[in-house]
Amino acid sequence: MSAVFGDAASPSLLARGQTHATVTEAISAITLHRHFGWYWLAGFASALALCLLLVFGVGWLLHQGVGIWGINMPVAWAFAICNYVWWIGIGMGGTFISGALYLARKDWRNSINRYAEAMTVFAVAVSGIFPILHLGRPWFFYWLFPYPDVMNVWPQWRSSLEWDFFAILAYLTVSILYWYVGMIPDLATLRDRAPTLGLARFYGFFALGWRGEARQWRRFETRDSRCRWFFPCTAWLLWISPRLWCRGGTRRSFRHSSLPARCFPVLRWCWCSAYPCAACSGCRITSPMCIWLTWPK
Amino acid sequence: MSSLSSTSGFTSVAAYVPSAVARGPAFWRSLEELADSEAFQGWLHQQHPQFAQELMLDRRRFMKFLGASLALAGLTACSRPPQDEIVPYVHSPVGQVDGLPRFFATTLVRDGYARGVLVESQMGRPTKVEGNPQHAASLGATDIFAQAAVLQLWDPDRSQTIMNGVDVASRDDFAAALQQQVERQRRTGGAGLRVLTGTLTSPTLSAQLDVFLEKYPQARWHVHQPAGNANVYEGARLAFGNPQSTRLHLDRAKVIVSLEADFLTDAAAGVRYARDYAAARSPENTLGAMSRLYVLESTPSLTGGMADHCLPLESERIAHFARLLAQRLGVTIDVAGSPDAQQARWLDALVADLQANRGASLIVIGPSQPPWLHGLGHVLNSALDNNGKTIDYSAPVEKLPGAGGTLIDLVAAMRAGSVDTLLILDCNPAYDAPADLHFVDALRRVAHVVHLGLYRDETGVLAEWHVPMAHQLETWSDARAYDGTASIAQPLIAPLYAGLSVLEVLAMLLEDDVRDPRALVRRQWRELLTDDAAWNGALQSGVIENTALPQAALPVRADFLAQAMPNRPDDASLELLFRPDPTVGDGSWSNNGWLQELPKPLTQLTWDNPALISPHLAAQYELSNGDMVELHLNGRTLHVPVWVMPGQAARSVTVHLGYGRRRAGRVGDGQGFDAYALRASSADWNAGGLQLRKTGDRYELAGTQHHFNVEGRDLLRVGTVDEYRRNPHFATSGDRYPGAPPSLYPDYPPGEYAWGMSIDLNACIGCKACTIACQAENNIPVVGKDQVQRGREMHWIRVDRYYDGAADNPRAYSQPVPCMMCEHAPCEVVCPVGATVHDAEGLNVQVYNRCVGTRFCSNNCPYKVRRFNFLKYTEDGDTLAAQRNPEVTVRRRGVMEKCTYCIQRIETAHIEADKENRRIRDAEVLTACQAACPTQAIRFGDIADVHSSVAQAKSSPRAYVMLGELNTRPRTSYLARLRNPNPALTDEST
Repeated sequence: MSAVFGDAASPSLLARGQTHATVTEAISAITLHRHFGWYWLAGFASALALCLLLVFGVGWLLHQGVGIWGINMPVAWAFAICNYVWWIGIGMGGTFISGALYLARKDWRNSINRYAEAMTVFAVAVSGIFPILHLGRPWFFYWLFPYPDVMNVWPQWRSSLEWDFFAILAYLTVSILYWYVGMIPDLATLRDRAPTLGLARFYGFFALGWRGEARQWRRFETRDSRCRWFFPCTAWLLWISPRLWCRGGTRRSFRHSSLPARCFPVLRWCWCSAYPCAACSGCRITSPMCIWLTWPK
Repeated sequence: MSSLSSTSGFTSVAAYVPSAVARGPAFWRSLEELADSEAFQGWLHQQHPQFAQELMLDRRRFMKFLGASLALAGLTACSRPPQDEIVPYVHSPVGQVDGLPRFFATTLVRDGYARGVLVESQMGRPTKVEGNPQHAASLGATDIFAQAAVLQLWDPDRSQTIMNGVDVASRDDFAAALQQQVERQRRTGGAGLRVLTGTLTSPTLSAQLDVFLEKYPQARWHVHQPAGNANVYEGARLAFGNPQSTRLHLDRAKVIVSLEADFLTDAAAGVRYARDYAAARSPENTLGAMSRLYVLESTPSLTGGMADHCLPLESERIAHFARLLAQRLGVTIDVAGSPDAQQARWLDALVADLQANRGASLIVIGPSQPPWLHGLGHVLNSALDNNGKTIDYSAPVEKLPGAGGTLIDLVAAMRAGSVDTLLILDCNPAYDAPADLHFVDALRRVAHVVHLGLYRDETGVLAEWHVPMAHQLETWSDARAYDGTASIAQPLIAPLYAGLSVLEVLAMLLEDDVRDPRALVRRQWRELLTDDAAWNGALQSGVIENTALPQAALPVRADFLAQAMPNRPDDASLELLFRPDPTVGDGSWSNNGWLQELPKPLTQLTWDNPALISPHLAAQYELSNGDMVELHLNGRTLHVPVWVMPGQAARSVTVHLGYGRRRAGRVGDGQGFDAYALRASSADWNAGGLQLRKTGDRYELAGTQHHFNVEGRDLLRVGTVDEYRRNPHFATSGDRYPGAPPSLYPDYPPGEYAWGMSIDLNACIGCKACTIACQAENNIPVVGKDQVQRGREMHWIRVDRYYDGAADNPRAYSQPVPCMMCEHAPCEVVCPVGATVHDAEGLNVQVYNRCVGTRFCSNNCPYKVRRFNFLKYTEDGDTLAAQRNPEVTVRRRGVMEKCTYCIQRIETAHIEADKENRRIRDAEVLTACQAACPTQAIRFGDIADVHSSVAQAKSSPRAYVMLGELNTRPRTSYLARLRNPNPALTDEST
């Protein structure tokens, strides 16, 4: 939607008969004047039902314990880690698409990026659930966080799980920033067009006082591009979780680094296939969007 | 080892294999592994695919859990103190210090025989059983049944009220009803009165029975013990003219030949025999002159597993082999047929070895063999000059009922209608009588049946009167050990359910003025324990001095050998063997969760009793583990799954008694299959003419043999005595990184003590007393068959079983695996919250409070000794909570746990030492597994003290550590197993 503000988008991207004003009008109307048809409500209801199933599933898990996942002693993580890796992979797909489009200076990227970044945020949020739910006592997940405790207990920094915790946290933070910063000018547009004062205040709060000044645009562009360079960093952070598996039977005997993978075929399978598969899936979810949006009409 | 490593692609393992081991055995844990079948690979690589099942919800529960998701998320799941009202003692018991355990010497009886124990009492609650070092049948150790007795005491399914038919009755009602019978019987001299008991050795009870038979001359006393010693006593009667008890001196024997005798798990003396046997096998004690054990058996036993040479032979063919052996040893005996080639080689070797060790050899016959073979055994031992040296005899320890005192006689009398009052005291014939007696039908013809038992079991529900029996730990009594040593059983707690003891019921029957069991026992021993000091001394020490029965020097008569002895033709039909189950016995322990879940030695199965078949038979009938078969024997049928047992004799099928209970309680009901349904009174151990048919159905068995699989690394090291003599360091000489390789991390600074453990695989017989002792000491929950199938059993010390050699006659090995307490522990570095940490004395401790349950520690543990509470395994409530050791935290759901080296015992010793301002002495701390071990295979102590027994053990040339090349520097180490094969038989498969 930042396309409507002109400078970033070249006129050639506009379809025949469209101006910036008509595009802005059409797109902001989706948010501001949407009428929820039956198909929307049906879709929402089914999504909500699935979400409630998740809530129920999580409730059952908390009530019964992780034993309901069918895991056992050599294969202690199977279900949780597969899901975690899968959703992180989806998120990485989104990050990859949006980062790559930006770095390739594709001017038509905005809508796709928004889609991909939103996907990343939610995928990472979902993936973050699993490391918490996989715990025997999930209600104590915050013990991984270095907070000042009266007992002076502290996380154990040699554990790659500890770093995994921060990796997810960092990735989630970066994804949200990435997504949100790109949205600020659009939130300002919605603020300006909001039909009620309440909505205007709502969008205004998140628009952070954006007025569309050239000075703000200049800062926006530099920050945005710096954000994109986080991409390699997040990718690196995510290599923490492979370290979970590659960390050998002992830290002192590197030649046995394959031991856990040998012990846990399921995990080895995860690592070999789930990560790239999920990342590809992330790309695959985004690519039809690309095609649809860029298809000459 | 090599077969697995080659398939799993872990080629470097060969580099670590010590030469001695690499040359010889390739260890395997199961037949699937041996065959390296696709099924096994598939199993291994996908472990357990299972889900769902719990999702059977109605609407209410659905809403409950929906709500719980929010509610539980906020809960921190901390526990409050119990909300019960508590009242302090007004007058504290003498000697009681609140919070400190006290130990009382008492006696536990198994199959009638005494084993002395010390029972730990926590503020009046019996919580743990230890062996009594002063008792001949214990010497400080216990078997699994003694350990499990304390769980039986607290079993909430025990009978709790006197029942008259289906009505609850009072004790007075029962006393009045019994008195009525007494008066009636008194008039007739007890013509219709019968008493049925199990095997008994109690002097007090024996005296009562004598009075009973005097008072009611027409009455009779019968004995029913499903797996008793009838053959043994009858054999002694043949050879000596009257029944005798036999005592083995395995520590003096150099050559032992067992004909289906599983003396290491013998009900009466197994613990003692295991100690004696291990003493004669210690290469350090015997300077390499180890004893040699030959075993011929139809179905594998722990004794067979320890054998230097084991020959699987059908049970009915063993007698033939014994005749051949006797003939070669110069005994005049008829022998039909000649030995096959393998038997001939065995005979040559055995005869030479036995002749060379006259006076130091021993021939032991199993109770499943016919009486004449026991008689022949006595003749052979006499001919080999062993009598009085490696074996001796005494007057019978058991009280024998005399002629006409069997269950068969009783049932005949019941059918004839000549029994109108039957007292069934502490036995359960409605379940465990042979099927051909139709005991339940006969019971209907008895007007008045009184049943005294711990449970209202199959017999209890049929009886007119059922009376709850006081548990052994609740009442006074006495019993004799295998050698006759008498000891008194004193109660640790008042009867929980106002139960009566057998002594009390008999006293009522005898109209004795004295009804109190303590007074009855005291009266019995008034001549020996004349005053209070002597009485208290006997109670304190747990034995009555000088009561062992004197050795009887009797001439052996061989004339019975001339009489016709069953010389069964060597037919090709299958034989069915009935054996008491290794963990639940004849069924009297069926409702004991610890015993049910204890993996059975050799099969490693839990909660079930499949029929054991040989690999040969499995191939012939195309059977694999878990296939259902139909067993037909003399018109009776049983559907049962099979288990292919390496080392089983080709034509033998073994069924274990003790399962298929209908009224055992919540734990035992419906588990397994009732083998009594096939048992006949005439063939109660072995029966020929078995027919077997595959039904095509499958049955899920809960085995643990692959759990915590460590994929073929060289965990077990075995050598022969010759190898040991040539190279005492054979166990470690192939190690690439002997000692401790360099590490990037600094060592922990040495603490005040350095705790360590040494496990002697040469002594370990694989009885699993350690596992169950650990379970009792450390509040380890029972998880059930379903959870075991999912690989979630919780035992902190497991006993791995390995085989090597061909499947039809492999060598078996046992290896207990507790936590290795690594000095550079892989688990410690991966815990994100620091819940598993190293303490100053080298222990790798688990902080349950801090554990969030990531399970990373377990993933990173190369020994797979960590256990996780996947679900809520520990139920509060019931009486079982009273058994728990207050020194040990009861773990909640979601935390990791593991062996702690019994840290609570270390701490107790610390406190004691601090009070006296001294260091902890060697052997002052005994871990639960160590204390229970019959063979003293486990040693524990301060390895920094070179004089400690554990440091001495670790300095043995046989010492090695598991996976030493990982540089985890385990504090638990092993001593390699040694075998002492006869050179004349070494090219045998065994």
